[in-house]
Amino acid sequence: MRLFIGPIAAVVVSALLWPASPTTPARFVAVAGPAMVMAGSWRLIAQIASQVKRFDEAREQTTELAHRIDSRLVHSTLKNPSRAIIDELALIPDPDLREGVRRLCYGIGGFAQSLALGRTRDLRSAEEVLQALLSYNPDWSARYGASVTHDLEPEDLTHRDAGIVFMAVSDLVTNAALRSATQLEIALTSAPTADGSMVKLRVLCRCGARIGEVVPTSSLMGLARLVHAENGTMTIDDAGDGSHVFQLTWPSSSRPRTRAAAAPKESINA
Amino acid sequence: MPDPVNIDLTARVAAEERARRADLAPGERGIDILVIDDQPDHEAGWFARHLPSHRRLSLESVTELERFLAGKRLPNLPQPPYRPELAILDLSLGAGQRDGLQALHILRCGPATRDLPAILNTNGLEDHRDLLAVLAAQLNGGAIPVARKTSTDGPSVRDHARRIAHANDADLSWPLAKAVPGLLHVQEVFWHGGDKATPVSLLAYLLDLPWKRTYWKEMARHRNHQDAAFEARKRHGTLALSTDREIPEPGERKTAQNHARFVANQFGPLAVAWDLAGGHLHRLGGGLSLIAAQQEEGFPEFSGNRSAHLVAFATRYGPVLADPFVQSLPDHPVRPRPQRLRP
Repeated sequence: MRLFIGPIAAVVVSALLWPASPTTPARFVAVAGPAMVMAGSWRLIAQIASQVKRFDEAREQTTELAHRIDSRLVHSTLKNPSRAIIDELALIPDPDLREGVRRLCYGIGGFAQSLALGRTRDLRSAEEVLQALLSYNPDWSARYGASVTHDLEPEDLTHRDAGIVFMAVSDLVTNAALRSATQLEIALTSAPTADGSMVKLRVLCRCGARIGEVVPTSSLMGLARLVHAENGTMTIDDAGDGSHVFQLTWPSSSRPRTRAAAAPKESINA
Repeated sequence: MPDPVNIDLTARVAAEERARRADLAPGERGIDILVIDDQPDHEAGWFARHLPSHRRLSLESVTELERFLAGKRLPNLPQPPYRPELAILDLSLGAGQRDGLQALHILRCGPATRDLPAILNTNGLEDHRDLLAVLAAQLNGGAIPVARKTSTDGPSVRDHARRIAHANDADLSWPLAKAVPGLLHVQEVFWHGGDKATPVSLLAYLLDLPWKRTYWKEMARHRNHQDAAFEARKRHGTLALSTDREIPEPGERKTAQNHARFVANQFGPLAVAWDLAGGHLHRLGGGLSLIAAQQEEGFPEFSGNRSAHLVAFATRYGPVLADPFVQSLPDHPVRPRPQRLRP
């Protein structure tokens, strides 16, 4: 729009001056004057646009730099100590406390990633949770980094959905990785319902073992209680060939859109 | 190859629940508890561990609470009918979301939930949260119990739920502001500004006039005491210079200084008293007194720089006091019932 202000003004001024400029020199001035104004305004506008663009670039660079500095700070003050803790988790005798500490560490990993990527919200999608926990173990990252086959748009998930996804993905993936699973697939999908949607998380783990007795104190029962409290369900299908599928479903008040599984984000391990 | 096996964990959880309800002691019963929290039962299953025999009605936002109270169906809730007898409100419901204070306000304004006992749920009352808790206490009839999601507070909440169930069974009303053994008891704070002054509610003292509301808004925005005081006066003109006890002098700078001094005179003693009392509103036991502050040894030197104390006070509480909802509270006081403590 700004680019047309000068030419339009020049045409209007020419139209006004032409009848009042009967002689050639006067007509030359009447044409050349507005033309010079037009050219000058274009130049000025171009200069201002260039300056604004440079300001925008500088602001983006500064923001990115601030995020990187914050991310490094989190790494040095939180992520590295939490990595040391996660390596010694087996020393914590109480299983609930152990799992709580593990989730805390994963949360710190996700926080560091959020800062590095300039994200201003908590972890939401299956991919985000997976990358947060894999950031603690380069071996796991290489093996399971591309395990998410279906995912939902993080912005569309509610806090409740995000909380369940975080708890379930972190727990099931950790269990699979600790058992050296040869295949891991995570699919987070949803189907619309009358008052929202039904979210489904399906995790396929091929670790060669069978699912044994699920004891009441196990983390699997903890997950089942979590989704049951939200009017959801949890089942395990053990195929008998060393693979099993964990499936959690729960109703959501939102209708999250499908998201194509993204490639693993750039590692931010410092 | 071994046969495939399907394990339905939901059925096991449902069976667990039935067994827990069947195991209740004679006279005990499970109740519906309204839980307003932006996370599912995250903290290692705090609700599941400490309130297993009760039904959790889980809402994640104030919007969901409004829908629930309007009778709309929420897909994550268990089968109706619902008869909540206790509400557990998370103080913070996520960035940019309406908080537990607003949830409590809605409960206290609703005819069906006006007398519903409530507990604030938070893992700490640091920073501005202690002011939120004090305001919640005021909405709750003068005091409110605060529980952390810990193994220490869990059994106290369980006992509280049991007592409420007993009271309801006996058709006795539960005093909302009653202290709960084992839980933090946060009381509404009254400011006593001197010998002849009458104690007034802290909320009313801080927000009863338009210029005060503008001052907190400006402090929350710019954190500059002098500019905020000047802006408050410029917009409302309620600060008469004669009350400044200063002779007006020409020049904007001097005028601005007078405004700043007036506001410091107004709120400074409170800020000094708050600082000398430890800087935690929820630990004051309901009263903040200038006389008590004056008896402190350090008072004379503190009183020399009231503005600095006021800036510290405003830095911590400015965002809460500038919130449009909090600013509207003095105009729409909610007094559910006078506090009736049982013997």
